[in-house]
Amino acid sequence: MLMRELYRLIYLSHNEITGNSNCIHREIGDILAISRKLNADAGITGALMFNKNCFAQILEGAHHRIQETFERIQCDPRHSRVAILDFKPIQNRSFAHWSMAYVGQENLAAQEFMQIQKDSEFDMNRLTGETIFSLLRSHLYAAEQDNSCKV
Amino acid sequence: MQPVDADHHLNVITGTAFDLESVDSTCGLALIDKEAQILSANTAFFHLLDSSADHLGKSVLSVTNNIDPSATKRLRQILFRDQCGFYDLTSKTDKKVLRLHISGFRQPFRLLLLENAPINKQLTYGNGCIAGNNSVISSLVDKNALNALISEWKPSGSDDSLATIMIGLDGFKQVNETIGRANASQLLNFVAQRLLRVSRSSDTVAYYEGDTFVILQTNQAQPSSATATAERLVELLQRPFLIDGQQINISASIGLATAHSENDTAGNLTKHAELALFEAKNNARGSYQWFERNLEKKIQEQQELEVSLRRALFLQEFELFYQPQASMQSKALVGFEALIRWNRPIKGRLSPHSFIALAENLGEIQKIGKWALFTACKEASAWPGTLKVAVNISPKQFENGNLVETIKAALTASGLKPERLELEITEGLLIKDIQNTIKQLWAIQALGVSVAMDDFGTGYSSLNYLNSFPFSKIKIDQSFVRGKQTDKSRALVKAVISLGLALKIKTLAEGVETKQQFDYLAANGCMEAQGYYIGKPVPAHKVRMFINSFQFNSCNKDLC
Repeated sequence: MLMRELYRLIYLSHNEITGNSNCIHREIGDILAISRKLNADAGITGALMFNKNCFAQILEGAHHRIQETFERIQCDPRHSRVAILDFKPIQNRSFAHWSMAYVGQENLAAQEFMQIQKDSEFDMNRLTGETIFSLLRSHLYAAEQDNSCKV
Repeated sequence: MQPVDADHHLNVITGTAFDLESVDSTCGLALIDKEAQILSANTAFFHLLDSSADHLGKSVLSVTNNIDPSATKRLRQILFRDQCGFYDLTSKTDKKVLRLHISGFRQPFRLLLLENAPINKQLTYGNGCIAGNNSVISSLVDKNALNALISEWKPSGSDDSLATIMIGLDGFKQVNETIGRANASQLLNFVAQRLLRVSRSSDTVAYYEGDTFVILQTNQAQPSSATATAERLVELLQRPFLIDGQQINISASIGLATAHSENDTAGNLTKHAELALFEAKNNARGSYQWFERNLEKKIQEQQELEVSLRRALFLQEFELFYQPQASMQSKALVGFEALIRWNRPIKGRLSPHSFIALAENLGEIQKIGKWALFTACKEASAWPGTLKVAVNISPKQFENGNLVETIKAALTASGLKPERLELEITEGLLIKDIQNTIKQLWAIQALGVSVAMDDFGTGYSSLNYLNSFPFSKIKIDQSFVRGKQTDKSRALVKAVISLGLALKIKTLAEGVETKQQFDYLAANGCMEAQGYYIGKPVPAHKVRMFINSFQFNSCNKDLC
């Protein structure tokens, strides 16, 4: 029963990728390429937001698929201090069109994310899943309508 | 390979009967001929292999092939060479592991013995045993194979070493109880998966037992490599797990040991890692510890202490000493605090701070506390007048809900009047489950027994605690009284005394050693005193003598 139920996971983690922006772009490109392929196979959709301090990621999918995906992500040395903001059952997917939408650091939403982090004095525990969720969703929907989203 | 019991069974059976059909056993038994055809077998044999007696006369391989086709090749090798041994069959449907022991060929038979594989081959914890669903664990090396790998290890060069990284999950038992077995089993599988993901291809990841895993490292620079792995694992296993719609957090402690040459410590390697793990868990959850020589001695002593503490009550090794308490105004004795002593054979007399915490951890405190209550009440009932006895109560004694009954029983058995008994509790008691504790305190008070707040000022002192229950007394901790007084300690003592006056609670200063201290406290309104200046703790049989001489001497002493 639970296995088939649709869940959404929202987590934050600290970036451990070092080097210049080329290095970072390459690594993020890798992360996206692999996650998009594996997510498509596993029926996972979601979004990833990145700035130079943090990753924020949303995963949607069947409970056991999220478990497997999250376990794989957990062991990735490119991030650390993973904090789960939200993990709960949902009725519908909010990112159904994206196997992994990406919002990079030059993006408005990411800048907003940065500002939220500053406002919460970098205390990730004070950031809620809802904040991340609405930020990403509103941005991605707006971008989709502008047809300018680099997804 | 371990010795095969089947050889022994063959001797017994061939000497008696050849018909196994009626042998009632949880083990499967079968006799096969040179061509591996089943001549006779009991019901359990077919049952364990999910087949039936229809297979009599057919090859045993056709039956095993049924549940584990991958085993056929290896089994054929054992069966058609004249070898004895055992083979673990893993059911392709439910991953259950069966161990098939094969005896040597003795004309005209060979005996097969089939049983559920030893516990450590299956995913187990607690008292029961379940095979993991889709188990990563069952793909790991098991404890037997791990031990074999360690004992067969030979250094390939002078700088080669073998390191054992033993990983134990902290508090897994509680997690298991909280989330249930199936979920706990999934958690173990996720842990196994994380270990596999971070280990090198040359490492061996083994499932050791219960909540414990081992990673063997060869050909790495030690201790740096194993230390780095341990650091990474401690961090990685602290990261959350998603189980059954929830986030589960757990931590792991790690014990490390290494061998550098084959006659070094290879045989003791896992034992050393176990000791180091034990030490790591003692130090702090989520830490790692390398094996050191002194650990063996330290842990042995600790275990001896545990064993002897568990039987100390039975061997009547405990004794109560009594330290006098006097009124500062009337300078008369008001009572004694009962202090427990453990007369440990050979090692000598131990005071409570060296064993009470251990007794609390071992769960022995309930029995020891009960003994102390009964003994103190009985011994105090022989004292003259209204002299009180104060007995220390551990927070643990409030946990099983029997405390009030125990106190009642101790009073009844001794005939001591309730108003002559005072219980001493510490502030720490009121942190956990405060409502339940206060309820018990009121029930104790209803018996006519008073309750004093001990060691005030050392713990989580909160005025709120003093307000939550009508304590009969605040005991000012001796650390503020004895030795050299600082402005700070003086201010604190004065503050507690005025607090007592304001709340109409008596104050007693502990650790009063000199006339100077006594006078200072008395001048500031402290009501009672305890300490060497009044008298040292004395054994029960000397209490009466003390009372008499105290009364006798008091007129000639400063106290008068």
